[in-house]
Amino acid sequence: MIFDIKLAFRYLSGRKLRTFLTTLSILFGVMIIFGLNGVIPSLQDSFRRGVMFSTGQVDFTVTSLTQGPFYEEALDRLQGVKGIAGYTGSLSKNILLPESLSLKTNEGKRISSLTLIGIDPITYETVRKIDLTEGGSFSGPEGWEAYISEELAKKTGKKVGDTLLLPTVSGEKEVRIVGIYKEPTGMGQEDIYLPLKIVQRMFGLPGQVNLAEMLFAPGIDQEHVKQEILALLGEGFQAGGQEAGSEMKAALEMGQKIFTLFGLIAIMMDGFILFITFRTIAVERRREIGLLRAVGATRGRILRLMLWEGVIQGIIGTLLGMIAGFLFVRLLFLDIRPVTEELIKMEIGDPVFPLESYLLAIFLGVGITILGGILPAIRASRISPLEALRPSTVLPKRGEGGRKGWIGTLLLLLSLLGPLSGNLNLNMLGFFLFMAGLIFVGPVLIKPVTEGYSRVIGLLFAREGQVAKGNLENHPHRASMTAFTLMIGLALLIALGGTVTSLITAMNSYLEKSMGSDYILAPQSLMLGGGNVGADPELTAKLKEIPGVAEVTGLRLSMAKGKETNLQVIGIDPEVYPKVAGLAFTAGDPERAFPLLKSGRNLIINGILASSQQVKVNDELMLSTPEGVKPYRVVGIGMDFLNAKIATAYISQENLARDFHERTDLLLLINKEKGVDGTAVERAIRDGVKDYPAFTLSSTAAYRAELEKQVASMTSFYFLLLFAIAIPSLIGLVNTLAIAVMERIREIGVMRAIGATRRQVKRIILAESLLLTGIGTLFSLVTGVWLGYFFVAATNGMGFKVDYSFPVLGILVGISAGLLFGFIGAIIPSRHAARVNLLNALKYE
Amino acid sequence: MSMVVVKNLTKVYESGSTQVQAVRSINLTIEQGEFVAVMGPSGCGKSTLLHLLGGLDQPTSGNIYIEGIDLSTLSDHKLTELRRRKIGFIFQYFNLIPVLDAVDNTALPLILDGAAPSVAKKKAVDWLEKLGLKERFHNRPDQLSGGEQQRVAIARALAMEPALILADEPTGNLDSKTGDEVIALIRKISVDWGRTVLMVTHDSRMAAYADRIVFLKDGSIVDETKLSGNERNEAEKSELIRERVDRI
Repeated sequence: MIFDIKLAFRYLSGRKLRTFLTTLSILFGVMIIFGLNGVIPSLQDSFRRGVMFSTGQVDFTVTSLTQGPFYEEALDRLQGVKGIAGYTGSLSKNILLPESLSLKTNEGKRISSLTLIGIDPITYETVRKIDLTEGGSFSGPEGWEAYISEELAKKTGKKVGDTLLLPTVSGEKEVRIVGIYKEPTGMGQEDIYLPLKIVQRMFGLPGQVNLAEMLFAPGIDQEHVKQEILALLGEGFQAGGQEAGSEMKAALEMGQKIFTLFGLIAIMMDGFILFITFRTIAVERRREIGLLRAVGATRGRILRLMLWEGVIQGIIGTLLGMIAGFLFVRLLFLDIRPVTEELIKMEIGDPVFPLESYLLAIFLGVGITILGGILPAIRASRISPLEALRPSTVLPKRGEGGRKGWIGTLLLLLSLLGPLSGNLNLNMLGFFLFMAGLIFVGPVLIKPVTEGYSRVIGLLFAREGQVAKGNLENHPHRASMTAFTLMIGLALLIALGGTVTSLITAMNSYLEKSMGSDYILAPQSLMLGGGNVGADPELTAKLKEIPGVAEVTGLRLSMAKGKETNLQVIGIDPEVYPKVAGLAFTAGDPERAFPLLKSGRNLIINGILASSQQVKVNDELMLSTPEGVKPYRVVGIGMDFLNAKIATAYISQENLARDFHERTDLLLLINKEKGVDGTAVERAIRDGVKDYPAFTLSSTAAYRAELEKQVASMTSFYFLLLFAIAIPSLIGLVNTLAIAVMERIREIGVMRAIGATRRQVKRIILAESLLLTGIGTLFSLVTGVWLGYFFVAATNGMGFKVDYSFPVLGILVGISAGLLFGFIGAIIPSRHAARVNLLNALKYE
Repeated sequence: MSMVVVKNLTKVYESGSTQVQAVRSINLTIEQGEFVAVMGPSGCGKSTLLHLLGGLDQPTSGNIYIEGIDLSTLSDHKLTELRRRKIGFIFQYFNLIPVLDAVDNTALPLILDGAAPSVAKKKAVDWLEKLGLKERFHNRPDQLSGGEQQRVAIARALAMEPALILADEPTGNLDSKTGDEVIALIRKISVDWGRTVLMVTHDSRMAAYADRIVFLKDGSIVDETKLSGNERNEAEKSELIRERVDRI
């Protein structure tokens, strides 16, 4: 084994350029997959600081299935349970503090969020102890009083007797600090304890809690008691702690899937490039392989020798890729941090790389290298010693190229059935058949395609172009593989570029449709449930009375559970909402759907929910609510901008109050009367909401423009990613051109010997490179358009309605990138070819 | 027991619709310690014969026995083992691994056979010293002259102490002076170190060092002549061989 590794190292250091380029392509793939795997965990980590409780001290915790609030009287059912030493219900929520109410630390930093925990001081003591180091207990169940932690007190300089201004559904309220406690807060979130009734009033949830905690008596069968508790509470409950903002979690999970997909695409491209590289290495070393076999190396030994090269490159590329990935994400965070913090009001920490991301990077980086190399290594090991010792002058058997061409053509024709079927899975199968067909038919197409380009090449390169054309036609297989490498990168660029453009167009159109009002009272976080406190219906009533205001409506939020899916449920006023906003419908009639929300349990769902639950209009959807499982009927499928990416259902505010006990408006949309002075109305509205600093008033046009700007800035990130994925194909092109030069050292030596100048040799290589990129670009246009169509179809399949738009811009970018790559790809190999020593080249074996 | 026994050996190559009989029903016996040269015009099948004897190629029909072992009964793995342990190859173009130095190239068969690196290295060094390459242990092939490279190749061929050495135009890529040095070494392999040597050559001067010459034409043995025990010098032998070749 040591010898094998030593030989592998020698080979790698013997071909420094090729080793560098191949390792670079591995580096890029690992950089993307490792780097992107650090983005979502970091966001999740920042987000996880909203976890309510450290539940380690109690024996058992229970929440509702939907993680939402439930009536505390449900806990009365636990009174007779033997084995429970004590139990308590609490209501807690992470809230964002508007700037005017935020706490400043002694260092001048802003504390912009807190966790408010409403406790029943009597029952809470039976389960947990709050160790007050200063001050005393609450004066009563209804006092506006609070305990803060020692840490918070120290940071902000607050002491017993001081007050805090907190946002509530009925405006900001002052709370007096009556105690300072000593307790670790868990994940860095500031916990503030208040009497339960006060927190219930603050959130507009009278009589409700969202967490039940229990302590068991010693010596009892805990499992048995837990089962008994859950049985008594009923089907709407589950064991476990509280998590904040499931919709944020869902969005992050979707983000994780997208990033993983990008990473896998990059790694797969690597695999293909490595396959081509190893294949060429095997050809280049035929004689040496033959010699090794002649002196007694077994096939297995040859296989291992070649794979060790891959492993070494894989390890080095992976290590460098992880370092590059780390730096890449740090740079990325500099770019996206301000946007993200602005959108969701959440402080984003530094990149976090969990152990799984390291293991995944190593597994994929080294694994794909081995995978890319294994087929060529197996083929190399099967070379008979004699075949390798003699130069092969045997041409492909007559009809072999033709046969492969026919197989390829058949595959291409079969692949058309995919998109014609309209079925997503068949579409995907069709795409793979298309790629396979292209691999077979590629070499056959080289000659006709180079003929097609010959006029252009002839104009640019005269004689050298003819030589280059001949070179490619003499090695159609190699030319085809090289063109393929480039094709994949460019096709992805075209496809993903087109898809991203389609997505942006769709998002902007949702934005247009969703926000038709004159004004918007927007919460701090774009994630409706992301720490926004909201306002009780009194604010809506108050705004309606302002002269000049025509309509006011709010969006209310709760969480539910469908079939294995958590979803958010948005309560709307079915009469007013369509006047001030709207949904982009993909099924059902909006003229009928909205009025139907008023009667019975009907809902409009978005595409993602429809797709995950496999339901359509008129189907029934069973939702787990705090009132138990309720059947709802789907009356339409539509989506709005804010909630397009998360499984969402729209029901009437009445149903939301009845089944979910939720009455708080998190976002308000306001229309003024026609012809009324907007300035005056706006002034009056601002005055009306001055006690609600958690809301920001803006004209919808201005708000929309701001959102469009933020969407655009996020897309620059996607395009950066696309180019990062396309880079390995450039590396592949340079690599194969470089290998092609090395394989033809003797030929180049002969050319120079018979009178070709260095300039002419360079121009031949450049002409070859441009021809190859011309072929690759042509293939990529077809593949890219198809792939883009498939991506859009897949997105629609997931429930996110996107119209397919022909990627004109993507194609132009692809062609430009192809030309650019053609020039860049030829620089190093053409210089190398021009500098070949004549005499050495002629002696070359 | 004879070192090499060949019975009715035939090799046919197919090229498109044409069949080429490179070797036709050859019968040959080579005794232990004998130095045999195979000569003939281009395309007569001499290299094909050598490749068949070395297990590098498969015959169309007939049998080859190396130390009594029928090559046709061996699996690829066993054939590889045979090449590693019983046969040493010397090629016209040396065929050294470019990224390994002289010691590593020489030690290659030993390493492939699982010898401990230190043992392999010691044996390689011993053979290189015997062949006068003491100053060249750590030089790579591109740092060696043609003659030095061929001597490394010879050392590699001898490293496993094989019973049979197969040499395919070993001096074909060398100048005459270097060629003389190399052929003298090959002669030494046979006479002093007791190995059986089969050498393919078109050079009558080189063939003159052999004990026996086998002449091939159109894939068949057409003549044979014994040279050892003869009182004539190398020049005279060479002249004799040339006459025989011309007759063919």
